[in-house]
This record gives sequence, structure tokens and C-alpha cells, in this order.
Amino acid sequence: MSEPRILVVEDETNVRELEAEILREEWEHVDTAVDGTDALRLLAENVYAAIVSDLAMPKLDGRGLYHEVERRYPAAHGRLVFVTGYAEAEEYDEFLRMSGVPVLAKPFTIAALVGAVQRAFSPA
Amino acid sequence: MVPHVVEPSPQRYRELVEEGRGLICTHDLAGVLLSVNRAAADRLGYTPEDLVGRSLGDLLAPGVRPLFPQYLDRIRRASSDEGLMLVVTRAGEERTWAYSNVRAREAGGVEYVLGHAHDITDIKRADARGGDVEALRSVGQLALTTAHEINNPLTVIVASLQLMIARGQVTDEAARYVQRAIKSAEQIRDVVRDMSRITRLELSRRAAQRPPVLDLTRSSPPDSPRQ
Repeated sequence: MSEPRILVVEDETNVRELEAEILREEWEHVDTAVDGTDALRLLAENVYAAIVSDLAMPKLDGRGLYHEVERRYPAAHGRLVFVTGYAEAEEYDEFLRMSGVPVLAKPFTIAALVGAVQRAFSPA
Repeated sequence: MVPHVVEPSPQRYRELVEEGRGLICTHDLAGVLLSVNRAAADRLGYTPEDLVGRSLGDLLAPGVRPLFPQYLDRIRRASSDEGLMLVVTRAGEERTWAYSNVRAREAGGVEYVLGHAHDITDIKRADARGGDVEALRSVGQLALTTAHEINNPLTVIVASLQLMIARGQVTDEAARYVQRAIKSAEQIRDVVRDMSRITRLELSRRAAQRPPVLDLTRSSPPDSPRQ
């Protein structure tokens, strides 16, 4: 069985590189995308075991990415995890409740990020 | 057959003015009150008898009282005047009345002003509260955006320090300082999170205080067709 591939979607360069670095300690294949549109480009080329995405991003945000993944790649839909500093934002409240996508609040610990990705491999 | 038209009696006219809920008064061209209906007097905390003979200007809030001569000048030159006036009740409360006054002439040729007003204080206060909620909402949005901007670099600080420890890149001596830095960063995280929650709670509380508005849809009978 091939190694799982993970996609990190984050517009903040420092956060994106750090998330990828942490996950590469555990898994070999970690790709990065700068926003939802960039993520869709990579999703067209690869199958990901987990998609770790920011919520607030330019071009296509996490909510838009969720809907596109749901439409284009229904199988990948349950492998999404949102990592956000907007966990308290009213703007995303309703969406997060409706979608049921796990949310990891920034700033997170290494253990919390790794744990969230592991759970995304086999969603309940 | 000639329709029988009932002429309104003088008593009915008098009742219309004296017992009606509209705020009605008459004053001479110098602003001295000639008559005040009960609704207007009640709203100000006086009886009509208390007010007759006094200047309308005396009932205005001190801040706008200097404008009274300008009003009298306008109503003398034009046949009508309308606008807002800030009055003070006997208890000292300032209230806003929207007035629409016209100059009239008695049968004997003496001119006077017929004043008609609505108390719009509650509407204005509701508007002001609505403005407060909007202002608070903007501040709240700023706080949430700031929280997001703080949380991103904080993520980098906390995770980078943890990564250094996990990789054994920190000596035992330095680890104490790194742990202290992580703990402080987590305190900042908690402050930001609490700030966001308080902002949202405050926004919800203020929104709940907004006065109810007439909901025409809800006011319709249950079985009436909805447009």
C-alpha cells in the first residue's frame, strides 16, 4: 500500500511551511497549496488521504474549497480538516456547524495537528 | 332625494382637538401659547392651564432656545414651518417633536399659529441604538480580524518552539526558556480567544436590545394569503 499523501492549503507562507514541515516528520508526501484554487489544481492530479486547509484565504476560501471538493471529489470530502484562527468568527459559524468538518484552532500544538490528520485518514 | 349632510358640531371639533392624541397648540406671532390640548400638555407633564400664557420658547431645551426667534421670523414671513424641536418636560427629560405649524387668521383679522406635532423621541432613540449596534459590530469585526492576524504568527511561534524541542535541538538549559516562551504564547492565545468570545457575546446582547419592529407578515391573520 502506498504512503498516504497529504495536502496543506494555507495562504500564510510561514504557517504553510511550518505545517508541512511538522507533517513531513510523520509522512513522506506532503504537498502545499496557497489557496483553494491552487488546491483544486493539485486535487486534479493527486489523491489525498487528508486535506488540511485554512478557512480565510484569497481567491477561494475554505468554504469554497469544501463545496468544490464535495462536488468534484465526493470521496475526498470526509478527509478535510480546517485549521483556522477564525474559530470564533460568526461568519463561518453556520458553515462549520452544517459541514461537520473537524476544526483545529490556531495556534495548535504539534500533537493536535498530527492527531487531526490521523483522524482524517479514517473519518467517523 | 337630497342627501342629508350632518354638519360637524362645534363640540365635535373641540373634542377632536382637546381629546385627540395629536399634539396641538396655538400661539401668537410672538410665540406666546394661546391654547394647548391635553395630549400635548400631558406629554410635557403639565396641564393645559399651566402652559397657556407662557412662551413656547420656554419649553424648548436650553441648547436650542436661541433658535426660537429664527422660527418666529420664519413663520411670520412664510405661511408655514416644519421641522424638529427639542422640548423639555416638567421632569427635565428632553424629547424630540416633529412639528408642522401653519399661520392662520381669526375672523377678526388677528393672526396666530396653529401647531401640530408628533413625539418621535422613541423612534430617534431606536435609530441611535441601531447605530450603536452597527458601530459595535464594526469594532467586533475588527477584533475578530485582529485575532486572526495574531493567531497566525502565534501558530508559527508555538509550533516552531515545539518542533525545536521535539527534534532535540534545544539543550536542557535552553529548554526551560523555550518552555517559558511557549507558555507565554499560549497565554496570548487565551487572551485573544477570550476577547473574540466576549466581543461576540456583547454583539448578541446589544442586538437583542434592539426594539421590536412591526412585522406586517407576522401581524397578518394566520389564514390570510401571503403576498
